[in-house]
Amino acid sequence: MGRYLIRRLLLLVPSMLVVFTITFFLMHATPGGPWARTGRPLPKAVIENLNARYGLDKPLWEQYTSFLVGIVTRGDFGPSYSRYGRDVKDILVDFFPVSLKLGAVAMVLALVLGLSLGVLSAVKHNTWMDYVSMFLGIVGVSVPSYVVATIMIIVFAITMRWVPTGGWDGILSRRILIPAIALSLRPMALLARYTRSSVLDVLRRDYVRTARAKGLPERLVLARHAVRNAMIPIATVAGITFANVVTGSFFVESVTKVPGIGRYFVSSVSARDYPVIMGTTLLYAAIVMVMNLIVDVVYVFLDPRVRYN
Amino acid sequence: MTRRAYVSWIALLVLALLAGCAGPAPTATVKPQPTKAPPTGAPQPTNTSPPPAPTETPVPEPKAFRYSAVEPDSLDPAKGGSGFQDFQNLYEALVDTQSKGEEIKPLAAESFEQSADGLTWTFKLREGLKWSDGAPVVAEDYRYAWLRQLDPAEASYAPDMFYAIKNAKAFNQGEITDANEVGIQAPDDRTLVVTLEAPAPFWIWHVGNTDYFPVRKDIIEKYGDKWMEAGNHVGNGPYMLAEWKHDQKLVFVKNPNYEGPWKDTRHIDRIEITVVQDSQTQGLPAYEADEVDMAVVPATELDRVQSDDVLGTQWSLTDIAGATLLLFDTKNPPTDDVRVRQALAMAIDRETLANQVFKGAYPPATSFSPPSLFSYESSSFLGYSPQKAQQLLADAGYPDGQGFPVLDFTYWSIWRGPLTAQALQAMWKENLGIDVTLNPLDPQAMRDYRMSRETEPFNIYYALQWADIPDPSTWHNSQLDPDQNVRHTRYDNPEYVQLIRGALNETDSAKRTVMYQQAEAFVNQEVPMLTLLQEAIVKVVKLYVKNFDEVTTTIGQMTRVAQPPGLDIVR
Amino acid sequence: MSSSTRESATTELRPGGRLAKPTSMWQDAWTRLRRNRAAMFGFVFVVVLIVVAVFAPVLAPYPYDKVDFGAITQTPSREHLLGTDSLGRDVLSRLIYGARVSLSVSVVAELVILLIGVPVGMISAYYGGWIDMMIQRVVDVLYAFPSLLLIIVIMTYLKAALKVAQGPIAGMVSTINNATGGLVGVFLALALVFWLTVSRLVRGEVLAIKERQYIEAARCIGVSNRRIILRHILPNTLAPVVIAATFGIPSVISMEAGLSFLGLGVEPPMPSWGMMISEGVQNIRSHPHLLIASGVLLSLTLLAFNFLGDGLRDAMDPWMKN
Repeated sequence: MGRYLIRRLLLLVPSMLVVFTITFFLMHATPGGPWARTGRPLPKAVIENLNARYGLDKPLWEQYTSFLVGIVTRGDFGPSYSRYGRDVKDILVDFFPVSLKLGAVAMVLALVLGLSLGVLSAVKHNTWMDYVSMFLGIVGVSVPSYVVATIMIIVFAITMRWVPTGGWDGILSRRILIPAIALSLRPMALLARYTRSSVLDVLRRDYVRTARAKGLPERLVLARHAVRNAMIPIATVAGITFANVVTGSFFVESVTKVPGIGRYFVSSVSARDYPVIMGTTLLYAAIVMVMNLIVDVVYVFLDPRVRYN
Repeated sequence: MTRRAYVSWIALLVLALLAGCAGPAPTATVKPQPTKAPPTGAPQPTNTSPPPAPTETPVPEPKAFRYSAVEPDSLDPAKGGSGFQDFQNLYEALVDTQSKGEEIKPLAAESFEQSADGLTWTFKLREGLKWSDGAPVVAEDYRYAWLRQLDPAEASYAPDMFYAIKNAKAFNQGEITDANEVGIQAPDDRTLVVTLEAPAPFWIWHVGNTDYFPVRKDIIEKYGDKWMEAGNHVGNGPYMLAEWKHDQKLVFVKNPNYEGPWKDTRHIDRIEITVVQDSQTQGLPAYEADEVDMAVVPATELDRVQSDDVLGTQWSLTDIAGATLLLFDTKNPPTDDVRVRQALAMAIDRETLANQVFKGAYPPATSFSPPSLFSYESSSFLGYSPQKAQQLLADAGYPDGQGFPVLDFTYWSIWRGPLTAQALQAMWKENLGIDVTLNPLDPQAMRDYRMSRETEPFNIYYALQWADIPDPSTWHNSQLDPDQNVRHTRYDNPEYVQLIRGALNETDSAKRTVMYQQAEAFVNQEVPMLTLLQEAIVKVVKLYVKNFDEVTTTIGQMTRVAQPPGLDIVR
Repeated sequence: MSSSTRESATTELRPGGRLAKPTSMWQDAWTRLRRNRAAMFGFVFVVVLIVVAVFAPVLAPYPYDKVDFGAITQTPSREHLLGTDSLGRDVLSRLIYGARVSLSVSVVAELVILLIGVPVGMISAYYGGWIDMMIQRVVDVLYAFPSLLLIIVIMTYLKAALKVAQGPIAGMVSTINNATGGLVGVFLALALVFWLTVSRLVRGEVLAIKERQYIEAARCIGVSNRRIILRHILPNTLAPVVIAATFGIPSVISMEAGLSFLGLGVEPPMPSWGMMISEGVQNIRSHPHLLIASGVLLSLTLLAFNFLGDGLRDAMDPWMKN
């Protein structure tokens, strides 16, 4: 297990390098460049000065190496191109924790509701409860999150005045309600679906039948046999979903004015803010890879059959 | 687990959520100022009765003016605070060119004089002016800031705004390396002398703009790129930066060291700006929830706002000296034929575009220049006339649009771009029987497209232009002079070029007006570019906000809170 | 795991003697599907939608780009059953044409996803060893990209590249792309991101199947790899792939809606539901009918695909047989 972990961790290095390389050339291949302002068409000379100041006039391979060397040796992604005076590091340090906290709250909501709905509808398979909870689950996937957030703002912030229209004050503030709920709908629905099918699958197994046959109460059948075994595939889904949720959602964050990293994912691309694109992409990739690793490790505890040499 | 267990589990969760809703809102983070400014989103104007506890001594509540804006790219005048000119409140220019009225008023300068030959300007600073950290404001601060704008290594966004100054262009383009050769001198602490290349009568208007704000050399050298953060920033304006939580909020408070002319018109104690992703659409919801005192109304909401009982009394539309434009390639068929361009122009129904599609949020253009520029001359303008347009197209060899190639129409995929493009496509189809392909680009790709037009042909593209100064040079010379390298219509009618180049430095203002109006007629008639709609902005302002209209600037509609008579809040 | 007894359904292995018509796995599945009401709702809805999309020009009361400046943002009336949009275009007609766009985006993108994902997953699992190693590392790395970011970058790149593409094949693709309002770019961008999931799924299935005895038997008697893959493995992975595709379609449709929200979807005046929803969100307070019409239709469609997918999975799951 220890050696397996070390090997997996070592594999992260070349993987990140590949992510870096693909991102670098992809973003430079995208038409347009930084510095455009919608208000005033910048003269060519101004753009050339800016390119020179930030080293964008150098050959691409040179930019590639110096960027890479800067990240590896100093952990320095450089300054943001669109936010003057802000380093990529500042941006990640300021905004990733916000998305992380919001995502964690959303994920807790999603896990609690998703697992409940999923188990409920598996146990009550093909009854009205199954249909209602699956309907809820599917609605969660089908309505785009920005529509949900917009409607919630109109209803709960403007009409009812229960919560402010947006902003961020930490996880204990009422402001988190709309973004957290909007963000949790999709993972909740996904989890509910996977839980349902996973539990259904397990319930049809012979060992469950045996357990029932020997007269074990249904409650214990579920708790001891079904749910635990059903958790294995769910762990995979939950791990990946978690990585997605904590890295923020552009749609939810921009509609609810949450200063999270998800907003930067998208606005850095539209601003061609190369260092920020790189910073956010690498951060995301690292989180996904680490989450994958964690899921694999968790398998060992959930499923005694799985062993890594 | 039984069904009941599940039901109670869910019920518990719902209860917990509701409890979260109903629980008291945690107090905002602790700030250095012990003031009791209402937190954003707090009390409604209807119950402004006695604030918290009746036992407290009645201290007048600090007046806060709250609104939404996008995150500034910077608060540095040289680094393009584009989309965020609200930092006007943090600095003071030498002269005031932006309050309503035709004339230029002294501001940080108590006097400013032009020499008889028009080439030299002498500014005399007021006595006792101080920066927000208490240091005196000296002429060298302005000189340093202006030279910094021109320093190629600084890569500032607007060096071309200084090119009228002697040797400025050469210095900016690296032909001269000695900054002392640039025509900006500060012989003593209170005197600034500027020498121009030519009598450029428009130049003084630039001095009132954000590009010409002073900055502090020692502060910039001490903090580097971080000099604009709250705590580091030093300005000379009536307000100063108290807080900047990136992507969340900015707070400006009264600058205690301010000694300038607007000292006593500062009725507002705090300016609170909530940062939003899209200032066009996200202001109004916050306004309706009473979280802000002023908001922009997007065209899509105009109908509702106008017919609303409350909002209907609070909205107003103000013109901005700017417009959306179409550009044609005058050397690439078929738009090289002036009749084709005229036909395309006359097939556009601006009234419908302005009043139906955009609900009256932007007035239709009636000449190439906006009415606020004195080149404005509507008698030569080609208005909507489908019959004449069809005739012109037939004269050009395309009766009923037959044989007319499919034109490419490139535009911004954001803001008004898509709606405008689709409306024009439909109008040209209906009135001329011709097809255009729509080619939306995001703003960054649009910039590349615009720049590459220098060498590559095109048909039509869409653009937005603001008049930086109330002078036609910003509209004619900077867009249509064959030497500018920004917009490539390739229009080179020698008579026109001679007119605008002559007018640029003409000192007789009556003559200058005539020249620009003659030039305007060329553009209106030969249509290398055309103006679609004027820029305007619709805002809603709470009724307790006084003097709002008086303190907004003519350019860009920014709010200078301390500008006489001074914004006030009277509840 | 669910594929364990699937081979018993193939008719040729069945011992003779019984004259009753052997039912194939697909027939079994269909019988079971028909009993599932939710799934049948989904199935019927999808079929109706396909018919509507195919016959859009016949069914739509107006052309999708018929601008009427005199009838802007009107509420539903007899002339315009679902009202008109910001350019006076008939919302119903645009929804009908939008069905074309949204369905073809999802179906074509899904096909491209399968065309890449199935062979890659199959080859990776069947040959194993260093081929598997290599492919899996690539998949892992691509998986680690933020999909939205990747789609945005690819879309922005493709949009510009496809506009000016030259040459016999690229030129043709470019022509199709321009004629369909940038649809090809949307297909490709979505497909390039979503094939990963399918390839993983197929790899898992094949890994399980290739250990089965009948595959070993086939290999022993010298059947070629190609034939084994095509005749014995591919058919047995079909069921999970069909299910995955059914679930994949709604996520492609909603991704297209997200792209439209960012201004990266299909190009105007071509309507897509995603674009109509994002227009609806902008007008939600002044003209709610715009969002209601498109939002409800999108949700119903996704619902239908999900019900159908759930039903298919239940129907094809051999554990359900009893």
